[in-house]
Amino acid sequence: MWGLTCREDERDTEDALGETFDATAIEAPVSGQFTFPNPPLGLQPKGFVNAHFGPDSSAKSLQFRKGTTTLAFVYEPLTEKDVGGIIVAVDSRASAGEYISSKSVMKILDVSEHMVATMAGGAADCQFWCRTVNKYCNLFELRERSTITVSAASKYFANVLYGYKGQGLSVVCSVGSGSLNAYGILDTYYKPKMSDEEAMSLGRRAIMHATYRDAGSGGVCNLVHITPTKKIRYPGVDVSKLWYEFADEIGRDIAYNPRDD
Amino acid sequence: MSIMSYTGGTVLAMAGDDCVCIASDLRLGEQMNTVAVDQKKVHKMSDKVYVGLCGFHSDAKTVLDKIMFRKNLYELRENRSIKPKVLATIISNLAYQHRFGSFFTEPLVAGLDPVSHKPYICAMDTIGNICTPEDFVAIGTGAEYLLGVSESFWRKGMNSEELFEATAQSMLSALERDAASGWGAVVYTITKNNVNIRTIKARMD
Repeated sequence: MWGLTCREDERDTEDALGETFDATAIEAPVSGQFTFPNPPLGLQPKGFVNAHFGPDSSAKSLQFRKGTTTLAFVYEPLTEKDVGGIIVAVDSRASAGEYISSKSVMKILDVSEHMVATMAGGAADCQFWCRTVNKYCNLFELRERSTITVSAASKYFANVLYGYKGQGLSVVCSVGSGSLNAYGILDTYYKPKMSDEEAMSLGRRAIMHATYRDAGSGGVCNLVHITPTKKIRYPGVDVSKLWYEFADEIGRDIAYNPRDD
Repeated sequence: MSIMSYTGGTVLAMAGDDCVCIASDLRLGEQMNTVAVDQKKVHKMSDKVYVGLCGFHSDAKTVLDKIMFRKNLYELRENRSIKPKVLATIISNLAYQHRFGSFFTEPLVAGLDPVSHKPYICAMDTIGNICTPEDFVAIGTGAEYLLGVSESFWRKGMNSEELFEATAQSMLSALERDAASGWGAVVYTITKNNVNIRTIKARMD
């Protein structure tokens, strides 16, 4: 039911050198192994979800509407002492319509030792399916004795999700409602060669500007730096604090003065 | 998303001892996109009478013009400055005239009686049902959050400083949970001698 089927007699059949490697164990896990109960009376899953949790639902706080800003970019080290790699940055707001249901969501999920996924869309869908891919990656590494490539993992992810096409799953990887604003900053300030410090502040700044314009994004900016050797998680930085620092930097007058009255 | 939360915005009014406070956020949006961060929803009607207009911004602007028109006519005819309660009735009549095709805006009136300096606060729905509590009223996308938090901040017989603190803190707490409002707030403290306007620093996300 849950996950792979594994027969008792298939276990531990290979010796230390792997000479008698059982051919059946080479089989990759097949997607579609999960069984989810369907809504009653033959209702269509997508229609059911939309009727109760969609935009027309009267239960506003149950609506699946999640604003998000997440981004990732690759860069080369600028000097000897920089390491380069990938910067992944996200906001931390969970919202249902205009209601902010959480201010401290961790939207960077671990997929494997050297991989992360960022979540946008339905939080439960994202978390569950990232866990599924995580399991696949672990099994792959045990079976193949080599780390899984990012493209292989994402192909598996895509295939699993395709199996649920038309059933109303909401999983979006690496974008979100505020991403257009983030692109504006990234397109302006991105350089292929950057120092680690520079790259991280670019990631944070892009998230900050996106949270400023997008009502669906906000909270703190969580950041992960993936280097060729390891993955470093950085603690969240308040985006509102970042904005006031930015306003100070460009010398913007933050005080609002009513023109009339 | 409903038309009432299309542009977002929140207004809160609190009554104290011979003083009232009226606070508004500064955001103007188009659904989830923030367009401006300098749009207050509180407007001056006379020396000590202010009106707040939340809901759909375009309708709020139109309604403000119509309110100004009726209020000016009243003041010219009567040759005295308008009482907040009279203004509320005028706005209510205006709103009800559009009973079968209403403006998508909720008005709020806060002020002191120009003669007796008695505090007056009230809020209306889109078709002019006046609701006059003695403690506080809120309208807009963050009204639910405001009413909850104001319940614990409001005390009987607050002076103007205490009232400002209660209003500002209630407003800031509500803005933490309402995505459609925020980006700064402005608080008007109306006492019999003067009106104090203060901008408060809020989260910018």
